[in-house]
Amino acid sequence: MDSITVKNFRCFGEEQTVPLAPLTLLVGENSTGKTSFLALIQELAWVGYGEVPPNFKRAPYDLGSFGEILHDPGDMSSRLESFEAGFTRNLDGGSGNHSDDNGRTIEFRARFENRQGVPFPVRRRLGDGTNWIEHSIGAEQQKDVIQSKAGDKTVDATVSGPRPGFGDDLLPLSFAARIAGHASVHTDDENGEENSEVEEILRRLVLDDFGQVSETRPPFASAPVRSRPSRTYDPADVFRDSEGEHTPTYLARMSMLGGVEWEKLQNRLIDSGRKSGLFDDLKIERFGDSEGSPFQIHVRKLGSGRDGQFRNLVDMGYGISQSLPILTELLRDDSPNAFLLQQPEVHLHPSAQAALGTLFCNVASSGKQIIVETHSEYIVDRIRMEIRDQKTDLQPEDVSVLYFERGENDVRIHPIRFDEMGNVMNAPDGYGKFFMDEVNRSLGI
Amino acid sequence: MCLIVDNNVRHEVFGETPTAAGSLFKNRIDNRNYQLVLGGGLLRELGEYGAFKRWFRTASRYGYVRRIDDQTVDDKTRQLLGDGECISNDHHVIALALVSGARLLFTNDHRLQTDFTNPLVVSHPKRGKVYTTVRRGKDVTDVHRKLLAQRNLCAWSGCGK
Repeated sequence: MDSITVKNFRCFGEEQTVPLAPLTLLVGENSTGKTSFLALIQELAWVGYGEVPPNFKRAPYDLGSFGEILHDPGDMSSRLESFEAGFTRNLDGGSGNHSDDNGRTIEFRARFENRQGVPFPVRRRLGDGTNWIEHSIGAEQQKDVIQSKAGDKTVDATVSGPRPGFGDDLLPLSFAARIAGHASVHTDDENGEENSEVEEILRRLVLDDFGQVSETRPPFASAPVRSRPSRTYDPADVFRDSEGEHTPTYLARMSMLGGVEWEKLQNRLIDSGRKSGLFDDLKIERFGDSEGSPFQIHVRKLGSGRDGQFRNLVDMGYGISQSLPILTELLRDDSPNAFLLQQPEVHLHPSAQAALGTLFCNVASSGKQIIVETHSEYIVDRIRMEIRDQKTDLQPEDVSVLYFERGENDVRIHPIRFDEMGNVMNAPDGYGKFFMDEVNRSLGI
Repeated sequence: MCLIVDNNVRHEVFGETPTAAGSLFKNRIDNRNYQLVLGGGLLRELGEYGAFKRWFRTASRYGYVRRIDDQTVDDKTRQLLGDGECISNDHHVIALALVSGARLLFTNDHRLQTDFTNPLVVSHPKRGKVYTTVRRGKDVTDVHRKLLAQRNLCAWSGCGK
């Protein structure tokens, strides 16, 4: 995603659109909507991924019911009934399915209303600046209203009655495109070529362009607190879990498979462990030969006065077990295209936090998108320095800081950029004011 | 807008007992009216001063200062030395101004003031102005206020204020 638009959602009132970069850092005081913003991105990605109704309680977030999610303007006379959100994505020229994608941007936007206590997208619109399709649910439920523009043809269609196969779920926009294609025949003319052109344009918009958003899998979203380490693990589910519950079993399974894949992952983890000062070696100790055998995770930390022995994960500092799920997800070959990370710095020494900054640069420069909610100055500083010293393939424009600033009744998001020297550009007045006041006070100036 | 603090007045701005004029100068940075520009030899000089180092780390993190590439400033410094136009030995300060576009300098060095306001040294596209507490005293004067109130004193195209 390249930008997010939000209106009347949680603490965000007036409509605002903010850019997302390959590496985006969300910063600001507590309770300024950073986590809500991450939750919104996750749900928009899921809507794009499977066109499933959003679930704002999907782990690791829990934004509550519609009442909690709808913005409170603080004025009883202007009670709101809906919120809106959307995203844009720039299509890569040449790398997608089409050769003429250069410079095209697709935009998805939805309006959410209260349906039995939870937000439901009553209107969705997908467009590319020229062509668009919009699906909305009519005032009477079970009525689907489809409007579209394909080339120079505008097509409206209304479908009443129950929807076989879809029930209360979202009507897939691909299905809406088919309806619009058929409607263009019945309402406008009997020209079969025109019909296929409308349907083809809309099909391409929905399936190919919109489909690029979900080309692999939904983002990995990590919780701010990861699961506690165990001395011995029994194999469990390897389905990605926001607290990293799956990580030990995943590592054990990979080590059992062995070969190049495990060696690659193990080496990447060890390299990250060394650079962050967390550990110098890592291995899986298995008690049995079967997949169901219990196992332990052992790590070794070398250094002056240390014997360099492998030790159980639980006998090492908490920082290792807390960072291992994030490191593993970032370094897996089959990692998703996007990561939503909440305070990955928790429990980490500043040197390890800084090393995370470097890792984020490396992963983001490999084509992944990382969005990090952080209070860590060390992560931000390291990223600035990596750009300045050209230690990363990331360019200044590939990094964005979104500063969340609380106003009277809502929160504004200020996009901040770095230049090629790592200088902070266009910082609003409030950005870092607390820290400047603190340093001035400590210096007595 | 962008400004430069010379090493010889650092105590007036970043010292424990700053002068009134130095405090006003720093206040404009803290309020984001001005952005301090640093790089090259001047940064190395100021970096030896502990209080400044601590301030600089936080200030650069939050966009109160603009760091200029040391190599670029050093190259310009060498060029100025070769030109022989400057009468001061602060070619690194002049170089920083020319490279960064900053045209307001806080200094009490008379020779540097002469260089900075010499159109043969600092002119294109704007001439330099000097903020000083030598002739005008340590207290804030109207001259100080007027200098800091100017809004068109920067030659950097990216200057936002």
